[in-house]
Order: sequence, then C-alpha cells, then structure tokens
Amino acid sequence: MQKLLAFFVFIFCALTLYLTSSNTGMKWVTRDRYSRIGALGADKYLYGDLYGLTYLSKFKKVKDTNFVSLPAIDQKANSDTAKLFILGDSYLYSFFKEDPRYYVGINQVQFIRWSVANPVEIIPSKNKKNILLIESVERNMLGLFNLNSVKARLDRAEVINAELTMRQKIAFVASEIDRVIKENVYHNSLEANIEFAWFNFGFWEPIKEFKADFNLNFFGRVDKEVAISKDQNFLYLAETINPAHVGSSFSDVSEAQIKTQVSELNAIQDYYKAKGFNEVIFSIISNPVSVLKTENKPDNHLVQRIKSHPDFKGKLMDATEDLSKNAASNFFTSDSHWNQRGAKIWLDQFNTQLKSSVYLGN
Amino acid sequence: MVFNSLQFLVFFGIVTSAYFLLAHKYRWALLLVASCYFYMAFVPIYLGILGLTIVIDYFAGIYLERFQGGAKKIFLGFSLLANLGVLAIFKYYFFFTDNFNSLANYFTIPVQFPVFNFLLPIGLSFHTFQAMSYTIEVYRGNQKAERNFGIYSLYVMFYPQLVAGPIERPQNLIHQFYEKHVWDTDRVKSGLLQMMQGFFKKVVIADRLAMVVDPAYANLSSQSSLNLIIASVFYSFQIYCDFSGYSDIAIGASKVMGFKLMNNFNAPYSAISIPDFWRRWHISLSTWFKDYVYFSLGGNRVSVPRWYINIMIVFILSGFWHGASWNFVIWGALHGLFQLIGLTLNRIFPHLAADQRKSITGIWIYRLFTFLLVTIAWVFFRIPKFGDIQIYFRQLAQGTFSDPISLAFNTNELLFSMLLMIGLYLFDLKRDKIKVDSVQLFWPIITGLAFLIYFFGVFNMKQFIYFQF
Repeated sequence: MQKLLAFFVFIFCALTLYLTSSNTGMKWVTRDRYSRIGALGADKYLYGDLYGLTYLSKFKKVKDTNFVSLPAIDQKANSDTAKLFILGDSYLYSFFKEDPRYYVGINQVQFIRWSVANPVEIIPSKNKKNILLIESVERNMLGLFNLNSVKARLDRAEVINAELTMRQKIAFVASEIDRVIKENVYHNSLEANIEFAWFNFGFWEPIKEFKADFNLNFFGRVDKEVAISKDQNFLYLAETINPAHVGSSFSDVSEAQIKTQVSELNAIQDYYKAKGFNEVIFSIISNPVSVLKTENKPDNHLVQRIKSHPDFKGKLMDATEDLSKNAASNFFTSDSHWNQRGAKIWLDQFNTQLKSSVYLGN
Repeated sequence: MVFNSLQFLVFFGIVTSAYFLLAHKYRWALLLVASCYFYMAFVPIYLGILGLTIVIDYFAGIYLERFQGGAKKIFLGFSLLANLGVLAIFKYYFFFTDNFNSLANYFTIPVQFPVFNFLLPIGLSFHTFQAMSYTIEVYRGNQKAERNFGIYSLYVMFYPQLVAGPIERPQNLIHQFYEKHVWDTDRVKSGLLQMMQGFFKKVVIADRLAMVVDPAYANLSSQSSLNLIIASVFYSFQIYCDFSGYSDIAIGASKVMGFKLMNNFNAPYSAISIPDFWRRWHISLSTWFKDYVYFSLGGNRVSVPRWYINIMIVFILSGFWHGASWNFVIWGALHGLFQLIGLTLNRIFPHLAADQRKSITGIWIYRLFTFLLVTIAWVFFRIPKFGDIQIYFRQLAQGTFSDPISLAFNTNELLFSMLLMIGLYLFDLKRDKIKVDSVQLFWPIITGLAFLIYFFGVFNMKQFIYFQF
C-alpha cells in the first residue's frame, strides 16, 4: 500500500516537473487549458492580467481578446515599400503580433520583444526603406530607453564582440556556465509554470475569489503588485501609482533626468540611422493612470516633457491626448493594457506618422 | 530552491517517494544527486566551491585518523584553513579590504587592497561549520573518518539542512545514512505535520510581519516612536518564525524519510535570562561555538577575567559568523555584554539570579526583561548602517507615542498579527503540556493548517532571512 502511494506521488510529481520544465510541455498544458471552458479551463488572464493577479470578483469582466480590426487597405501598400522593425512590449504585440497589414506602407514586420532572453541582429534591407520603432510603456521607459539597453536586444554581434577585461571575461564565463546549467536543468519560469499547471483551473476560481475578497474587505489588502483606483473602477499595476517607484506616473523626475533621457534617445537615433535605418520612431505609451486620471495626484508628464524638450531631435509618438478623450472606454478595467479601442487610437496615430515617413521620406 | 515554493513541493514529492521506492543501497546516491540539484537551483557554479572543501575535508579526515601528534595537527590545521579560507574569501574579503583601505586612507598610508565583492554562496557559513565539525570530531577521536566519499559528501550536502542548518555533528548524522529507514506511517505523519508547522510560521506569520517591518525599517526617519516599537517587536517574531520555520521544515522533511536532525529552537522568547535564551535559540550554532570555541578557550575553568574574555570572544565570533558587517559584530558583542552584566550581578546579588525565580510573577518579569534585551539587540542585527541605527534611536527618543499608528497595515491586520504572535508564544510555552496526539489527529490538523496557510499566507516567495548567512 505504501509502495503504491509512493509510486503514485512519484509519477504525479515527476510528470509535473517534466511538463513544467519544458516549453513544449507548457505549450501543451496551456493550449489544452485555454481550449476548455468551465471547471477544467484556465481562469488566469481570461478576465485581464490584473484580475489574474488579484482574483477580485468585482473585476471579473470578460476581456475581449480579439486582435484589433485591420485598418482599411492602403492601396499603395501593395508595393514593396518598407520594412518595419519593432522593439516593443505587450502593448503592441498582444494586439498586432507581426502582421504587416496593420501598418501603412509596410510589407514586412520584425517584432523583437524587450523581454527577449538573447539579443538578435537586425539588418536593414538594402532595397527598402527601413523603419525602426522603439516602443515601451511609460513605467519601463526610464530603464529601457538607453543605447546600451537597445543594443543588448538588437545588436547581437556587438554584444558578443564587446571588448572585455580579463575580470569581465571570467565573470562572463562563470555566468554563462551558470546560465547554461540553469536553462537546461531549471526552467526559468518553473515556479509560475507549476502554479499554472496545478492551480490554473476554473474550479479553483471561487476559492481564489473568496480569499481575495476576504483579504480586501477584512485586511484592506490586494496582491502587492496591484492597486485599485480611487474611483474603484480600475485595477492598476501598483508600481505605476506608487511615487517611490521609478516607473510611477507620480514619481519625481528632475529636469536633469529628462535631459539625460533626451540625450539617450538622440544617441539611439543617431546610432541606428548610421547603421542604415531611414527612420527611428520612438513611442512611449502612458501608464493607464496617466490617462485615466483617477488618483488626483500630480502627474510627472514624463512623455510630454521629453517630447517638448529643446534638445530632442527625434520623433516621439505620444497618444496620451487622443487616449484621454473618453478615456475610460479605451482601457480594460482589470488589465494593465489598453483595450482594442485604445490600441486602435495608437495605430491610427502611428499610421499617420508612417505615411509621412514611407511616402514622403521624412 | 526555497522551501516556500511549489518547486520544493514537487522536488520533495519526487525525492521522498523515490527514496522509499529505491533499494536501500541506492538511497544515499539519490539523496546526494537530489541535494546537488537543490543547491544548484541557487547559483549552480558554487557547487564547485562546496565540492572543493568536501574533497579537502574528506582526505583530511582519513589522514587525521592515520597520523598522530604533529602531523595530525597539521592535517587539522590544513582542513580548517581550507574551510575558513573559503569563508574568508567569499564572505569576509570585502569586509576586511574595505575596512583596511578606509583605515589606510585615514592614516594616509599608500597601500590599497583590490576590492572584490563576491556573491556569497547560499548558506556558506552553515555547511562550512558542519564540515569543520567533522574534521574536529575526527581529530578528537569522537568520529571515525568516513571512507565512502559519497556518504561524506552527503553529510555536508544533505539537502534539508544544507543552506540554513541545523548544523549537524557527524556522530548524529553520518551513521543515519547507513541505516535502513522503512516507511513508518506515524513518523511520516509527524514529519509532515512539522513541515506544515514550519510553512505556517514562515508564510502566515513571518512574511506577514515583514509587511510591517520592511517598510518601517526602510524609512526610519518618518517613523514615530510607537511605530518603531511595533516594528521592532514584530521583527523579533518575524526572525524567529522565519528561522524556526525553516528548521521545522528541514527537520520535518528529514523525519519523513527517517532521519533525525537536532532540534534548533526551544521556545526562545520564554527564556528568563540571556544565557537561557542562547540555550533555546539556534541551538545547533550555540552548541557548536560552545563545543569547539568556548571549551577550547578554557570555558569557565579559568580565572574570572579570562572567563569573561572567553564569553566575549564567543559572542563576537558568533555575531561575525552571521555576516561580514559591523552591525552583526555589535549584535554579538551586545549579547556578550548582557551575559557579563548578568553574571556580575548574579555574583553580587545571588538571590536575584534568574534561575532563583520561583513565583510566576517573578518569572514573567524576567521573561519580559530578557525579551526586551533581545529585541534591542535585534535592532542592530536588522540595521546594517550606523547612520540608520542613529536615526532609529533618535526617532525612538522623540517619544512620539501618542501619534496614530501609521504602518503598512490596517487595524484588523495589526490585531490579527498580534493574535498570531500571542498564539505562537503560548503554543511554544505550553507545547510540552499539550496532551493531544497530533499524529492521531493528522488529517484534521493538516487540513486545518493547509486551509489557514492558503487563506492567511502571504505568498511572495520571500527568501528565508538566514539564507544570507
């Protein structure tokens, strides 16, 4: 009997470890879970990523997960005009993937995510216009929008060939050994994968919601990564409203920091233009709280201050103003992203920019 | 791999079930491989450092047994040097060079050591001390040198106690790897219950209290006196639940497989004096220092001034063991000082000695006073910078006790936390008198604990405080 029990535990745990340690295994688990509805289906992210962190019943609202509808076909786009390289985050990837039909005058898109583990090499096409879009949400922008950080994603050759001191080389070799062992023996998101495999079932949902509601009502506490808006209508990432956090819309950003940031953007633009890109466009997507303005706190106007800085010589897309019109309808209530309408507003503005870049050459 | 993670549950399930499915002769190999996997989940390459000291100590043990006299001493010295050398490089190198360079600057001496700040291998002080206890015991003739390299490696690396103890002695652990442990349902249940108790202490109490303690200590200058007192008392319980929770999980996990590890805590906050506290707190470390340092210095069988010096040496070393920082040294020295003051007062007023207390009121007064001293000392343990320690005491001295409590908690959470601390304290105090057979009530207790952990646990995979040592 004990042997049978031990055998059962071994099989169950070993199978869990096997599935959750491999990307193929997790793809299978995820696909299977999301294809089901109800008790055996996945409950996480179905109602928004922030609902998936908090499980507050009040914010359980079905999220429209369709992509943004394609814009009207641009007749000129059929010609081989331009290739768009995007270094971006989930704000774009979740809505547009790598489909060139979304973009005016573009017939090829290469999307590189900031979260990419290994750098790639982007090579501008010789017979086309090459446009590089570097996009990030405001909360991550200060850490990402600098030349080293961009090169670490887009310049594989430079990263590999970088001149290293002996000390750096030893540290590099040690960290590479560590990385190889970790990647091959321990999946880097093993904990999250096991949690998904064991607890991401619809039948757990009422229990999770009960716990979340109890914690909120009795202890006044939600998941530490999430905050509820003052008007109680939206969930935000806590870091975006905590002034102590560098990515917050309410953090103190000095003029000197803005100036540094501007010079970084200029450096990125100069570097990639020198590498053969016709156009480098930056896009900073405001934190939802900056647009929804629910907190009655002084905003640092980070995006606008960079854009209007006299030293800034690049193109910076800022959709804050357009998004602010009827703002509540442009964001999911329980997700850290905009919704289809919000994404469409950004796309329209970007396509206007593209038109002038692709066809008019500026 | 941290105990408070799902990865550990999966790991524990695989290792424990495989342990009972495998034939006895293969079990040590399973545990050794599992321990390597467990350790490498932190920083894989540091397994090499552990491996190096294991090889040195393994051969040192064999040669210690083979030789006598001066040669024996040389082998012991070589082994200790290797172990302390690893500690010196990875844990203390930055501290010494940084302090030396500062002094050199101050006295305008044109000598500067290169400063490297190595990433500290997890639990280095624990497994180094365990390895040293092996060679010392072999040297003393209390333990035979282990010939099986795998078993010796397992002695140093046994996963439940590898990174945060209890620091075992070879006489207690090595022979257990040779014993055949059969499945004993009562023992398995008892081990699982102890593990659950550990999880409860960690995720329900320690990590909940950390939500108050961490922000308060991170922003000392804006705290009222009352806030600081609450945060300090909470920290006393946080570190206790964090560390004893780890020990419970380690001891429980071992017990499930049939291993018996030494007890590491015994209701430390019910101690009636500082010596009594050290008989109850981190027992495996305090007995290590007692056996290998204090007695080697002569213990109390020397003149009174020398005895006092011995006590101070042991406590300062104990503080330094915790971390390469002056605040740990001060923490250790404070405990030493408290002991010396206590000893002196006992000699002058023997009738006031703590162990002479017979009345309940008297015992409680001594308990409270001991807790107060320990809590004051924890302040130095918790705050690494002198400047911040000054701010702490300056804010405390302002006497802003009537200010509203402004902690990262609402009233319900504050009251609930206090309830948990009082409950734990009383449970610890009355544990021996509780007549309930927890093994017989296994299912109700384990289900109840699982329910409480799920609903009241704070799941942020916060590392155990003692991992850093």
